[in-house]
Amino acid sequence: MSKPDYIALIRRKSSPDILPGLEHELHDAIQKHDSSAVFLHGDGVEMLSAIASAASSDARVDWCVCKTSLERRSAAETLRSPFRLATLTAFYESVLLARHVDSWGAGGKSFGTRALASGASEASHRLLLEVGFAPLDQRQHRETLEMALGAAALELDVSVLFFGDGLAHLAGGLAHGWSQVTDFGLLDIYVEGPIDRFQPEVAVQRLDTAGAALLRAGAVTILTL
Amino acid sequence: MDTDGHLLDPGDWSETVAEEMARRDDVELCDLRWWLIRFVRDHYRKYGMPPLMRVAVKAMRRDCGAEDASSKTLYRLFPDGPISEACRYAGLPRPESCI
Repeated sequence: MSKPDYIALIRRKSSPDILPGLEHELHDAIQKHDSSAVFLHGDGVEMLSAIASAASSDARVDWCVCKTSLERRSAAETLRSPFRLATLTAFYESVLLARHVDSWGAGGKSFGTRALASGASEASHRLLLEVGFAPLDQRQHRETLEMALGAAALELDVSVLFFGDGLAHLAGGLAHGWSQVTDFGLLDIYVEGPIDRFQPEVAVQRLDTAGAALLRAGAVTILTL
Repeated sequence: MDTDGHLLDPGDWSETVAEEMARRDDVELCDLRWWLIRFVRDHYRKYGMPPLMRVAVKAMRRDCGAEDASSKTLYRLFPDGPISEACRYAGLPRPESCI
Protein backbone atom coordinates (compact mmCIF):
# COMPACT_ATOMS: atom_id res chain seq x y z
CA MET A 1 0.00 0.00 0.00
CA SER A 2 1.96 2.98 -1.20
CA LYS A 3 0.03 6.24 -1.63
CA PRO A 4 -3.44 5.45 -2.90
CA ASP A 5 -5.99 8.23 -3.36
CA TYR A 6 -8.74 5.95 -2.16
CA ILE A 7 -8.76 3.22 0.48
CA ALA A 8 -11.50 0.73 1.27
CA LEU A 9 -11.33 -1.13 4.56
CA ILE A 10 -13.43 -4.28 4.55
CA ARG A 11 -14.05 -6.06 7.87
CA ARG A 12 -17.49 -7.51 7.09
CA LYS A 13 -18.22 -11.18 6.83
CA SER A 14 -19.06 -12.33 3.36
CA SER A 15 -22.77 -12.81 2.81
CA PRO A 16 -24.95 -13.04 -0.31
CA ASP A 17 -27.08 -10.21 1.05
CA ILE A 18 -24.40 -7.58 1.08
CA LEU A 19 -21.90 -8.79 -1.51
CA PRO A 20 -23.53 -7.36 -4.66
CA GLY A 21 -23.99 -3.95 -3.07
CA LEU A 22 -20.47 -3.91 -1.70
CA GLU A 23 -18.96 -4.89 -5.04
CA HIS A 24 -20.99 -2.23 -6.81
CA GLU A 25 -20.01 0.54 -4.39
CA LEU A 26 -16.39 -0.56 -4.41
CA HIS A 27 -16.26 -0.62 -8.18
CA ASP A 28 -17.75 2.86 -8.39
CA ALA A 29 -15.35 4.27 -5.84
CA ILE A 30 -12.34 2.74 -7.55
CA GLN A 31 -13.36 4.19 -10.90
CA LYS A 32 -13.46 7.68 -9.40
CA HIS A 33 -9.87 7.62 -8.21
CA ASP A 34 -6.48 7.45 -9.87
CA SER A 35 -5.19 4.87 -7.43
CA SER A 36 -6.91 2.73 -4.83
CA ALA A 37 -6.14 0.18 -2.16
CA VAL A 38 -8.54 -2.38 -0.75
CA PHE A 39 -7.57 -3.78 2.64
CA LEU A 40 -9.29 -6.92 3.93
CA HIS A 41 -9.02 -7.28 7.69
CA GLY A 42 -10.57 -9.53 10.32
CA ASP A 43 -13.68 -11.28 9.05
CA GLY A 44 -13.23 -9.28 5.87
CA VAL A 45 -10.63 -11.79 4.68
CA GLU A 46 -13.54 -14.20 4.28
CA MET A 47 -14.54 -11.96 1.37
CA LEU A 48 -11.39 -13.05 -0.40
CA SER A 49 -12.84 -15.79 -2.54
CA ALA A 50 -16.13 -13.92 -2.99
CA ILE A 51 -14.54 -10.83 -4.48
CA ALA A 52 -11.66 -12.59 -6.22
CA SER A 53 -13.54 -12.63 -9.49
CA ALA A 54 -14.32 -8.95 -9.20
CA ALA A 55 -10.76 -8.04 -8.26
CA SER A 56 -9.02 -6.90 -11.36
CA SER A 57 -5.38 -6.93 -12.20
CA ASP A 58 -5.73 -3.18 -12.77
CA ALA A 59 -2.39 -1.76 -11.69
CA ARG A 60 -4.20 1.19 -10.13
CA VAL A 61 -5.68 -1.03 -7.43
CA ASP A 62 -3.64 -2.57 -4.64
CA TRP A 63 -5.55 -5.56 -3.21
CA CYS A 64 -4.22 -6.16 0.30
CA VAL A 65 -5.05 -8.82 2.85
CA CYS A 66 -4.13 -8.58 6.52
CA LYS A 67 -1.44 -11.16 7.11
CA THR A 68 -2.48 -12.04 10.65
CA SER A 69 -6.19 -12.19 9.88
CA LEU A 70 -5.52 -14.59 7.02
CA GLU A 71 -3.18 -16.77 9.06
CA ARG A 72 -5.83 -17.14 11.75
CA ARG A 73 -8.32 -18.45 9.23
CA SER A 74 -6.43 -20.32 6.57
CA ALA A 75 -2.75 -20.55 7.26
CA ALA A 76 -2.15 -22.85 4.36
CA GLU A 77 -3.90 -20.71 1.79
CA THR A 78 -1.67 -19.20 -0.80
CA LEU A 79 -2.66 -15.75 -1.93
CA ARG A 80 -3.13 -15.41 -5.63
CA SER A 81 -2.57 -12.33 -7.69
CA PRO A 82 -3.74 -9.58 -7.52
CA PHE A 83 -3.99 -10.06 -3.74
CA ARG A 84 -0.98 -9.64 -1.50
CA LEU A 85 -0.25 -9.66 2.22
CA ALA A 86 -0.05 -6.39 4.12
CA THR A 87 0.10 -5.22 7.71
CA LEU A 88 -2.01 -2.90 9.80
CA THR A 89 0.96 -0.59 10.03
CA ALA A 90 1.08 -0.26 6.25
CA PHE A 91 -2.68 0.28 6.18
CA TYR A 92 -2.58 3.18 8.62
CA GLU A 93 0.40 4.78 6.93
CA SER A 94 -1.61 4.80 3.71
CA VAL A 95 -4.74 6.12 5.43
CA LEU A 96 -2.82 9.24 6.41
CA LEU A 97 -2.17 10.02 2.76
CA ALA A 98 -5.43 8.97 1.12
CA ARG A 99 -7.97 11.50 -0.08
CA HIS A 100 -10.95 9.30 0.69
CA VAL A 101 -11.46 6.26 2.90
CA ASP A 102 -14.51 4.01 3.08
CA SER A 103 -15.02 1.26 5.60
CA TRP A 104 -17.32 -1.70 5.64
CA GLY A 105 -17.26 -2.62 9.31
CA ALA A 106 -18.23 -5.79 11.07
CA GLY A 107 -21.25 -3.93 12.39
CA GLY A 108 -22.66 -3.83 8.93
CA LYS A 109 -22.74 -0.21 7.95
CA SER A 110 -20.58 1.51 5.43
CA PHE A 111 -19.30 4.98 6.00
CA GLY A 112 -17.74 7.26 3.49
CA THR A 113 -15.35 9.61 5.19
CA ARG A 114 -14.55 13.12 4.24
CA ALA A 115 -11.70 13.81 1.92
CA LEU A 116 -8.50 14.97 3.51
CA ALA A 117 -8.73 18.72 3.47
CA SER A 118 -6.33 20.43 1.16
CA GLY A 119 -3.23 21.42 3.07
CA ALA A 120 -3.98 19.18 6.04
CA SER A 121 -0.84 17.54 7.28
CA GLU A 122 -0.36 14.04 8.55
CA ALA A 123 0.28 15.49 11.99
CA SER A 124 -3.19 17.00 12.07
CA HIS A 125 -4.90 13.89 10.76
CA ARG A 126 -7.37 13.07 13.51
CA LEU A 127 -8.68 9.56 13.20
CA LEU A 128 -11.86 8.22 14.76
CA LEU A 129 -12.64 4.51 15.07
CA GLU A 130 -16.30 3.68 15.66
CA VAL A 131 -17.46 0.44 17.23
CA GLY A 132 -21.20 -0.20 17.33
CA PHE A 133 -21.39 -3.97 17.24
CA ALA A 134 -20.95 -6.68 19.87
CA PRO A 135 -18.18 -9.13 18.99
CA LEU A 136 -19.48 -12.49 17.84
CA ASP A 137 -16.48 -14.30 19.25
CA GLN A 138 -13.10 -13.84 20.90
CA ARG A 139 -11.34 -13.48 17.57
CA GLN A 140 -13.58 -10.66 16.41
CA HIS A 141 -13.03 -8.91 19.71
CA ARG A 142 -9.28 -9.33 19.42
CA GLU A 143 -9.12 -8.07 15.84
CA THR A 144 -11.15 -4.98 16.68
CA LEU A 145 -8.74 -4.25 19.52
CA GLU A 146 -5.83 -4.77 17.12
CA MET A 147 -7.27 -2.16 14.77
CA ALA A 148 -7.02 0.32 17.63
CA LEU A 149 -3.59 -0.88 18.74
CA GLY A 150 -2.31 -0.62 15.18
CA ALA A 151 -3.14 3.08 15.17
CA ALA A 152 -1.76 3.49 18.68
CA ALA A 153 1.50 1.80 17.72
CA LEU A 154 2.11 4.56 15.18
CA GLU A 155 1.21 7.18 17.79
CA LEU A 156 -1.53 8.57 15.56
CA ASP A 157 -4.03 11.09 16.85
CA VAL A 158 -6.79 8.54 17.31
CA SER A 159 -9.93 8.10 19.39
CA VAL A 160 -12.30 5.17 19.66
CA LEU A 161 -16.03 5.76 20.03
CA PHE A 162 -18.20 2.92 21.31
CA PHE A 163 -21.96 3.02 21.13
CA GLY A 164 -24.90 0.63 21.41
CA ASP A 165 -23.91 -3.01 21.45
CA GLY A 166 -20.32 -1.97 20.84
CA LEU A 167 -19.99 -1.46 24.58
CA ALA A 168 -19.85 -5.25 24.89
CA HIS A 169 -16.18 -4.95 23.91
CA LEU A 170 -15.51 -3.14 27.18
CA ALA A 171 -17.50 -5.36 29.51
CA GLY A 172 -17.00 -8.68 31.24
CA GLY A 173 -14.15 -10.98 30.33
CA LEU A 174 -13.45 -9.08 27.13
CA ALA A 175 -12.53 -5.83 28.81
CA HIS A 176 -9.00 -6.67 29.97
CA GLY A 177 -7.50 -6.36 26.50
CA TRP A 178 -8.81 -2.80 26.18
CA SER A 179 -7.49 -1.90 29.64
CA GLN A 180 -3.97 -1.60 28.24
CA VAL A 181 -5.19 1.27 26.07
CA THR A 182 -6.20 3.35 29.06
CA ASP A 183 -3.56 2.04 31.49
CA PHE A 184 -0.82 3.27 29.15
CA GLY A 185 -2.65 6.27 27.71
CA LEU A 186 -2.44 4.91 24.17
CA LEU A 187 -5.57 6.62 22.87
CA ASP A 188 -8.86 8.12 24.05
CA ILE A 189 -11.88 5.90 24.53
CA TYR A 190 -15.34 7.45 24.39
CA VAL A 191 -18.78 6.02 24.93
CA GLU A 192 -21.82 7.60 23.30
CA GLY A 193 -25.28 7.54 24.77
CA PRO A 194 -26.77 5.70 27.70
CA ILE A 195 -25.02 2.77 29.27
CA ASP A 196 -27.61 0.11 29.92
CA ARG A 197 -26.81 -3.48 28.98
CA PHE A 198 -23.02 -3.39 29.03
CA GLN A 199 -21.22 -1.64 31.86
CA PRO A 200 -17.71 -0.64 30.74
CA GLU A 201 -14.94 -2.02 32.93
CA VAL A 202 -12.42 0.27 31.28
CA ALA A 203 -11.95 3.95 32.04
CA VAL A 204 -13.99 5.75 29.37
CA GLN A 205 -15.18 9.26 28.69
CA ARG A 206 -18.92 9.52 28.28
CA LEU A 207 -20.44 11.69 25.59
CA ASP A 208 -23.98 12.74 24.88
CA THR A 209 -25.26 12.93 21.31
CA ALA A 210 -23.99 16.46 20.86
CA GLY A 211 -20.56 15.56 22.22
CA ALA A 212 -20.30 12.57 19.91
CA ALA A 213 -21.31 14.75 16.97
CA LEU A 214 -18.49 17.14 17.83
CA LEU A 215 -16.03 14.28 18.00
CA ARG A 216 -17.12 13.07 14.56
CA ALA A 217 -16.99 16.57 13.14
CA GLY A 218 -13.42 16.97 14.33
CA ALA A 219 -12.19 13.78 12.71
CA VAL A 220 -10.51 13.82 9.32
CA THR A 221 -11.08 10.12 8.86
CA ILE A 222 -13.73 7.92 10.44
CA LEU A 223 -13.39 4.17 10.23
CA THR A 224 -16.40 2.09 11.13
CA LEU A 225 -14.98 -1.09 12.58
CA MET B 1 9.77 -25.99 21.15
CA ASP B 2 8.12 -24.94 17.92
CA THR B 3 10.06 -24.12 14.77
CA ASP B 4 10.48 -20.51 15.93
CA GLY B 5 12.02 -21.60 19.23
CA HIS B 6 9.00 -20.81 21.41
CA LEU B 7 7.98 -23.27 24.10
CA LEU B 8 5.07 -25.42 23.00
CA ASP B 9 3.71 -25.40 26.54
CA PRO B 10 4.10 -22.06 28.38
CA GLY B 11 3.64 -24.03 31.59
CA ASP B 12 7.09 -25.49 31.07
CA TRP B 13 8.68 -22.08 31.52
CA SER B 14 10.91 -21.17 34.43
CA GLU B 15 13.76 -18.72 34.82
CA THR B 16 16.11 -21.67 34.57
CA VAL B 17 14.58 -22.61 31.22
CA ALA B 18 15.01 -19.02 30.02
CA GLU B 19 18.65 -19.04 31.11
CA GLU B 20 19.25 -22.29 29.25
CA MET B 21 17.59 -20.95 26.08
CA ALA B 22 19.78 -17.85 26.29
CA ARG B 23 22.91 -19.93 26.88
CA ARG B 24 22.20 -21.90 23.72
CA ASP B 25 21.75 -18.63 21.83
CA ASP B 26 24.94 -17.22 23.34
CA VAL B 27 22.92 -14.37 24.87
CA GLU B 28 23.56 -13.07 28.37
CA LEU B 29 20.37 -12.23 30.22
CA CYS B 30 21.48 -8.97 31.84
CA ASP B 31 19.25 -7.01 34.20
CA LEU B 32 17.60 -5.01 31.41
CA ARG B 33 16.87 -8.10 29.36
CA TRP B 34 15.36 -9.74 32.44
CA TRP B 35 13.31 -6.62 33.07
CA LEU B 36 11.86 -6.81 29.55
CA ILE B 37 11.17 -10.54 29.82
CA ARG B 38 9.31 -10.08 33.10
CA PHE B 39 7.46 -7.03 31.81
CA VAL B 40 6.28 -8.95 28.75
CA ARG B 41 5.14 -11.86 30.94
CA ASP B 42 3.24 -9.52 33.27
CA HIS B 43 1.63 -7.69 30.35
CA TYR B 44 0.58 -10.95 28.72
CA ARG B 45 -0.94 -12.21 31.97
CA LYS B 46 -2.83 -8.98 32.55
CA TYR B 47 -3.99 -8.12 29.02
CA GLY B 48 -3.80 -11.40 27.13
CA MET B 49 -1.23 -10.19 24.63
CA PRO B 50 2.32 -8.86 24.52
CA PRO B 51 2.84 -5.09 24.77
CA LEU B 52 3.29 -2.67 21.94
CA MET B 53 6.87 -1.49 21.55
CA ARG B 54 5.89 2.03 22.64
CA VAL B 55 4.36 0.60 25.81
CA ALA B 56 7.55 -1.28 26.65
CA VAL B 57 9.59 1.88 26.05
CA LYS B 58 7.29 3.91 28.28
CA ALA B 59 7.45 1.28 31.03
CA MET B 60 11.23 1.06 30.77
CA ARG B 61 11.51 4.81 31.28
CA ARG B 62 9.22 4.51 34.31
CA ASP B 63 10.58 1.33 35.88
CA CYS B 64 14.27 1.45 35.05
CA GLY B 65 14.97 5.17 35.35
CA ALA B 66 16.04 5.07 31.72
CA GLU B 67 14.63 8.42 30.67
CA ASP B 68 16.29 8.25 27.27
CA ALA B 69 14.98 4.76 26.52
CA SER B 70 13.66 4.30 23.00
CA SER B 71 12.88 1.52 20.57
CA LYS B 72 16.61 1.56 19.74
CA THR B 73 17.34 0.70 23.37
CA LEU B 74 15.08 -2.32 23.09
CA TYR B 75 16.61 -3.39 19.78
CA ARG B 76 20.05 -3.26 21.36
CA LEU B 77 18.79 -5.80 23.88
CA PHE B 78 17.24 -8.12 21.29
CA PRO B 79 18.26 -7.15 17.74
CA ASP B 80 16.04 -9.79 16.14
CA GLY B 81 12.90 -8.15 17.54
CA PRO B 82 12.64 -7.03 21.17
CA ILE B 83 9.06 -8.01 21.89
CA SER B 84 9.16 -11.23 19.92
CA GLU B 85 12.44 -12.33 21.45
CA ALA B 86 11.35 -11.33 24.95
CA CYS B 87 8.22 -13.43 24.42
CA ARG B 88 10.36 -16.38 23.40
CA TYR B 89 12.57 -16.18 26.50
CA ALA B 90 9.43 -15.56 28.58
CA GLY B 91 7.94 -18.84 27.44
CA LEU B 92 5.11 -17.12 25.57
CA PRO B 93 3.80 -17.90 22.08
CA ARG B 94 5.14 -16.03 19.10
CA PRO B 95 3.24 -12.71 18.86
CA GLU B 96 0.65 -13.27 16.17
CA SER B 97 -0.36 -9.72 15.48
CA CYS B 98 1.00 -7.88 12.45
CA ILE B 99 1.11 -4.58 14.30
